[in-house]
Amino acid sequence: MPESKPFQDLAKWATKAPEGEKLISTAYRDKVSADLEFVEHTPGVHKPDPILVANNVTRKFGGMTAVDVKHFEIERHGITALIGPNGAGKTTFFNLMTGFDTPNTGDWRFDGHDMAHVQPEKVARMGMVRTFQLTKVMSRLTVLDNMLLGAPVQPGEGMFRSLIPGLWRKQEKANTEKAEALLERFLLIKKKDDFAGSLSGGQRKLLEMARALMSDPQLVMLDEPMAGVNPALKQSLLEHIMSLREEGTTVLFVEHDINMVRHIADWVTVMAEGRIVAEGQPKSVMEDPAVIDAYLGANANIDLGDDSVLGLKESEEQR
Amino acid sequence: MTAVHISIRRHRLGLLLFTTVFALLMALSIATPGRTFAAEAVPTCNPTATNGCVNGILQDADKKPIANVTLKLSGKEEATATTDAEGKWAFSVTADGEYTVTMDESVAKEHGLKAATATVEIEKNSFDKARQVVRFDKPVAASANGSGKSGSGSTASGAQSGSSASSDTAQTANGSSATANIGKRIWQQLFSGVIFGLMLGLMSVGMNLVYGTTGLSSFSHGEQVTLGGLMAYVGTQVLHWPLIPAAVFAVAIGALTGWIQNELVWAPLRRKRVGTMQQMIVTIGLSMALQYLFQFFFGGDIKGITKSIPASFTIGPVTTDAPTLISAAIAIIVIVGVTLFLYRTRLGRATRAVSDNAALASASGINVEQVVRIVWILSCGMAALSGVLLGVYLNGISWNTGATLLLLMFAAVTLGGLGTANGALVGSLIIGIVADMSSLVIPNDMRYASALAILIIVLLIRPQGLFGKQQRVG
Amino acid sequence: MDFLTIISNTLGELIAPTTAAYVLAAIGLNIHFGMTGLMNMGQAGFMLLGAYGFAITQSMGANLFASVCAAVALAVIYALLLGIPTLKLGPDYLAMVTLAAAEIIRIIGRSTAMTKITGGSAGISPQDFTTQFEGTSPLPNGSTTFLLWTYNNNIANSWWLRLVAWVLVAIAALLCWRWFHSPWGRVLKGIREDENAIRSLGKNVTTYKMQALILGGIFGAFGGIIFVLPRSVQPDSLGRAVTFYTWTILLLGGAATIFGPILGSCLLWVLLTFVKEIMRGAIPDTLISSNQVEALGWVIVGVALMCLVIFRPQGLLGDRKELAFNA
Repeated sequence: MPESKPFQDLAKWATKAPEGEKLISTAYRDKVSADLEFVEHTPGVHKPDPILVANNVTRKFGGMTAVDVKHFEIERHGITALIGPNGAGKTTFFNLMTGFDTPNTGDWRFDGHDMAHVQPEKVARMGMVRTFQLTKVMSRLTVLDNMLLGAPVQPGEGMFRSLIPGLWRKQEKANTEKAEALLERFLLIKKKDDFAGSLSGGQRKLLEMARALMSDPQLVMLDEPMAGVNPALKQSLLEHIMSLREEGTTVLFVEHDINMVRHIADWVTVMAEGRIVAEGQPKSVMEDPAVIDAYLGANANIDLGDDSVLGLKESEEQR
Repeated sequence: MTAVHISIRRHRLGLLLFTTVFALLMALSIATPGRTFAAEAVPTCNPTATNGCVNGILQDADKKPIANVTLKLSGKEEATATTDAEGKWAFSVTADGEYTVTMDESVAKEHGLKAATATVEIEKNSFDKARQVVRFDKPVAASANGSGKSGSGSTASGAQSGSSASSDTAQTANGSSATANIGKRIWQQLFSGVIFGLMLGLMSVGMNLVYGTTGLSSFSHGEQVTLGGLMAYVGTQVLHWPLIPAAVFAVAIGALTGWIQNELVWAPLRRKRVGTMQQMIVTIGLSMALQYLFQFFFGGDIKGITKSIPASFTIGPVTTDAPTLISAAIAIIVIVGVTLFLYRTRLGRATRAVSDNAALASASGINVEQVVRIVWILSCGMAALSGVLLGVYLNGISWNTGATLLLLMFAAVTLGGLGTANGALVGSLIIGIVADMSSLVIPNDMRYASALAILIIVLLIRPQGLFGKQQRVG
Repeated sequence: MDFLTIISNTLGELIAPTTAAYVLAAIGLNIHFGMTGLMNMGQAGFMLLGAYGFAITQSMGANLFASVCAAVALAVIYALLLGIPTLKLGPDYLAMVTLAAAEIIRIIGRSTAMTKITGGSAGISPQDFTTQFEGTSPLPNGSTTFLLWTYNNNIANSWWLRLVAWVLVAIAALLCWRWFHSPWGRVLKGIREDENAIRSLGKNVTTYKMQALILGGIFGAFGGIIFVLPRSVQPDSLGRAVTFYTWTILLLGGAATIFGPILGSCLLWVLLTFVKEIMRGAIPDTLISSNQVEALGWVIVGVALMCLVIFRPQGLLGDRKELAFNA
């Protein structure tokens, strides 16, 4: 049903629309487009209303420089796409921004707060929530429990308070309602009592995204949200992402699917060999010969698995 | 940099707390006078948690047994025994400390023995000092070297004949004369530490190869060591073979068990993609089953692989004997051989490739299963060999010898860096030396604790071990 | 052979204090491993520390409550010492460090140099630390027969001890049930599944792991106290083997279940005693000595542990489905 008419149902979906404001509008999209219209298409350009500003972020593994970003800004309320060939350092950059990895140099500010060397859990609590390229769902917990883990407030998560249900039952109920609303929106409500491990790859992506939204983040960072998702689901995922923007959430995502980038992104940043090589609005960036050379031309076979840092680390840990 | 600082500080804090507590515990360990219990003469003696053994076979210069000689035990406890028809005699003692065994001077002269008295030190909890074999073919001066206690048996017994409290004064009296010998003791302990380290190295290099290629920390590796020693015992004492064929037999059996267990247990588990943590628990089960199977078949006592007592000699400041040196040489040769195998042969390079990245190795055409099979065979063969050498070096092997060494193997492997073959050798040498040298400073029965404490401290400072690659920390 | 004796001996294990001690230790391990996924290979270390903390303070004349507090405090400090440096590293490290640390405690405890405090390898004998506990018993002196079993009311391996031990087990199980089904337990389970995911959701994983380590360690310390009350505090009786027994119990009953540790412990000891008794009765002593029977018992436990992990990793009470997704 939402596939045919993307925006009509948004009001129904919305979980945090400001009072009296209808989300059928494309207000944020229009605002962001207008703001970005006059921004120069050069790497590391300043934007009118940035939510995240990074400076001189570098990360070296042995002799190899995985990330070397001079300056980077993300426009508030916009959908920014981060693209680039495999090994360009996109996921490493994600890891650095969210505290999962420590950079060799650099600092960055999120909404005015200094975020360098802040632990990942604190990053998340400040409103910058991420998903993972290799989906991380808690397999042996139910879908609903996965969602409830995303809730930011739950007094019952203290060791002693958890023993007295009276202290947390009410909050649990509120969280459950919110989780169910989100699951409904992400078409997972029928699965809510199943183990997350029984979901398909695409459903896991949806679950992870829905879980990230439990805390009403200001900035959502999605690492390849479309990888492994079947085309039918892809369409609804795109709509979810666009609806996020209309709710005031800023979105940064890594993606290889050029069509998707062209379709929904307000701004595209291209990384190659750890550096930002181009920035701009989707149409113009896609036509930039430097981008085509660095990305599309050089590496046509772009959907091969990306050896993301966290993915590698993960497999090492499991050994 | 705050996060980095915080994490380092936390590590330091933990380290500090740990070392403080450790130091406190050490400080608390005030030497206490041992209670006096009666020693007794027994036909055969096996050390347990509560008793140690002073024993030997009295032979004349031509290795003929001398029967019906009365031997007097003095020191912490006193007793007398008479040698049997085969020249055997044994005392079971309960207190740790030094014991002197004395026979009549005339008997010694008559049979061409070089001494009529000998002193040994018993440590019930010590792996190699719970049983001491007493020999009378060394001149008195040489026996005084080893123990750091001067004088003949009569003075020793004189000092001990008083109440148990006198042991304290005896120790202080020793202090002055011991300073002269402390250098020698250091060398002796260093030497035995190196020998022990080499044997440990033989075990842990194999264990580390298994870890490197399969990611499995095998708890049953200690039992593979025991198996080697016990099979050598079966060869020499049950089948009455000479030592060398028996050793070959033991290594062959060890290698065979490596192959069989890989085929029957580990390969299927890997195929089922059972996690390494679960596999580790399986090795715990295997270790328990094997260990008590050994006890079932071989009993709880120490099995001697060779019956004859080798003649000892002195090199520089160190007293040693031929089997010890030969064992050490064999250990070195095998370790060098394995290193050459890893670096010079095709199969060895394949092994290292699998250790590095099994998926990549597999993709580039290496038969990973084949490599793992060979690693298992090699590792268990080496463990068996080390069991044989250990049995020869320590004058015997018992059902739980390997199990007591398991933690030291883990320590050595972790110290060197999980998965790095050469690291394990260096780690083993360090652990061996630390364990033996630390007995100069802390009570002897705590020396393994010091080796384990080293392990923990190293983990805190350098989690990847001395030679391990630094992993990306998330 | 006397079949009735075998049956009563065997079923006696069902309510024996040692069985309860193992239940408590396994409940602690369940919080570590079953809930949080921590590989604690040194639960015996927690038990031994608890036993020492209790027995040493008792022999110095402290009152019961203070002694229990001392045992708990030791377990907490020990957990902190182990946890602060290792919980941030991989699971292998916690396994190695707990294993080594438990061994260090045992080696130091049994050292002759510590004889004054810990009694060395001979340990602390019961008359030094059990009198106060026995004195608190409300039961009359003498012994009581209940169904098949006759035990002294108050002294040593007594009804009073059984009562206290199983009440403790009940409390522990109740607490565990509460924790398992609380948001706190949910976070722990989440950490077991994927700690980075939990971190990305804004939870402080290290704190949770530390809480779990401490909590499980405290249950271990209680297990240690119950373990030593009917006998003496001997460091060697709380060695590595006890940890492995505890693992077998947990995996037999089923990790991450409430009744798994209870069922596992009862079943293991009843079956083991039964098999041993039968062997003692049926096989003449000349063929297999009683030491060998003991050894065979261990072999059975070892083989059982292997088979459990290979063929029924979820244990008796676990949910097969839950283990199907071994991500």
